[in-house]
Amino acid sequence: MLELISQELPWGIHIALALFFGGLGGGSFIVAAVTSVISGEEFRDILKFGAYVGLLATALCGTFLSLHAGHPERLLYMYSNPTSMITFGATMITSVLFVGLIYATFLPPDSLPWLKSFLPWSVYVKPRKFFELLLFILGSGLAGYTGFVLALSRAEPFWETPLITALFYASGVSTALMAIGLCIAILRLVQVTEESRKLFVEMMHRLDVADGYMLLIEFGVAMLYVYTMLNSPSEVARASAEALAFGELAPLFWGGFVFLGLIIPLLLLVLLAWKGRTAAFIRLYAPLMILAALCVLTGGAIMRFCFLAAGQLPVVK
Amino acid sequence: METVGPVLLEGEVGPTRPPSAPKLDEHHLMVIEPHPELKGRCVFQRRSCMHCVDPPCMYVCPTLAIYQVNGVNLTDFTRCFGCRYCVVACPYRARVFYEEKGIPIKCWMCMDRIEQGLAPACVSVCPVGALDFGRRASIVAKARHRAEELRAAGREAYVWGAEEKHGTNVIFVSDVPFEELGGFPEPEMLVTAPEALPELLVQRGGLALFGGAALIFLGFILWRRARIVKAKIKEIPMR
Repeated sequence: MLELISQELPWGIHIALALFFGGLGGGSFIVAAVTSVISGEEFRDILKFGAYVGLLATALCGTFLSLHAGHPERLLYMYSNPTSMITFGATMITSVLFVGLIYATFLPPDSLPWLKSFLPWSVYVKPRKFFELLLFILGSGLAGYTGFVLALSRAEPFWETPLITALFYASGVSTALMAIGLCIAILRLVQVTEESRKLFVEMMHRLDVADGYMLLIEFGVAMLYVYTMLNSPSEVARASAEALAFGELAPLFWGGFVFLGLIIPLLLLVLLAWKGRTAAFIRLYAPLMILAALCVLTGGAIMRFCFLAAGQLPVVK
Repeated sequence: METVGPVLLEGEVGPTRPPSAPKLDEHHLMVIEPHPELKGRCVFQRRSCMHCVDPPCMYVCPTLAIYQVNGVNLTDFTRCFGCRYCVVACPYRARVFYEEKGIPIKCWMCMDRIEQGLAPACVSVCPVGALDFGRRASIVAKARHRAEELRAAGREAYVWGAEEKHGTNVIFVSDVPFEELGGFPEPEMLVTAPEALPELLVQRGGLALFGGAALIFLGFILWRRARIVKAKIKEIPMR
């Protein structure tokens, strides 16, 4: 079903992944900036992985946009039209990559101590804070763009709502929190040291609680979206919502996004927030966090595809 | 400046049930779609680019590859990078993506023929004279006159393209409502001009985006506050 749909749609799997990685990239820098504001240097690993995941995801967003393009050799032309959301998005991707790369030089990995001698400015906090503020704005632009590009496409009533931007933005932040958690949890499994355990659990607990709330927001916005579209005055929007909620996209939407991407990780996160810091659960923290993160990331990608495909299905038919 | 180019079409009576019509694809930039059972007869509908007066495809194109010449919407294929935003944005679903060439294509109103002083090919070959070509104002007047004739003869008559969705340069006259024919934008579907972009950005994205950002900040501030309160509670000596 997935292959069939993606072949027929003007915007298929490549664009869904570009939107997913765009949200993840922007969200990672938002998480890094907010963490720095509220926790200072306490959770430096979140800042580091925020920068690394943000850079990688933004680069992947650009890569999937290029893979989708019929003539990737003409990509530079896409900066030409300021009224086009793709021009806005391309500008955001380039800016985030450029500023994000500078920001990442302030946070070299501990595993490469020799790198610090090449980056003497990495000890300064104030200039880094400036880049964090800039990246919060640019990251919000990038995560928001993934919704704007659909909301302002001007011909798909299913996408003509502010809820799509809210949903993609919330999902961007939620997937970013879990991607950062995933990196830290994998690192924890590789480098088990007793003194880092307390910090690890503290960091994870915060990511866990923050993502729990984000998943609840995402769930609420997604349900509100489907409900409003099922009751839309537009026949095309209703057809899209019915395909999503009850039609050919329903298994992906309910199974892939709602169950796998929201309910399972939400239950895992509640369990970890409740019992995670007890002696019995401490060993399971990293594996369960990895599982929750993989579910959220897979669900986030499926959600982008579902909403992208639902908007176009009445057109294909 | 007055534009050239509208084509006039009227729903015509067909003799028998026609074969299934081809869909718009890279080999068919204009198709005549039969509706075999509308009003107890077969009605034919021309489907192709409507050459919108304010074309959404032109406004969304990031490469400025889409442009207008005297009301005809054309594409500069040396600039197009094949993102398909125009395919998604077309309210008439008239653009198709030519996978082999990596470009979105559509009817170009036979611009080469127009430049030679000829009518578009579809107009020249139509055996029943259902299509016409000329300056927009005269074609709109002709369409309205034809609709009046139909109404005078006791038939229904509808005109599409004079004002609808900012107007198109292909004008339809039909005795079947356009909702029944299909392929036309619904009243709820907004086809907006670029002047409305800032308003749209706020309406559909800005509020949600900044609302979302504010919500995240608020959430983290509350979370931070909870931590401070928790820490203060810990500092209170146990009795």
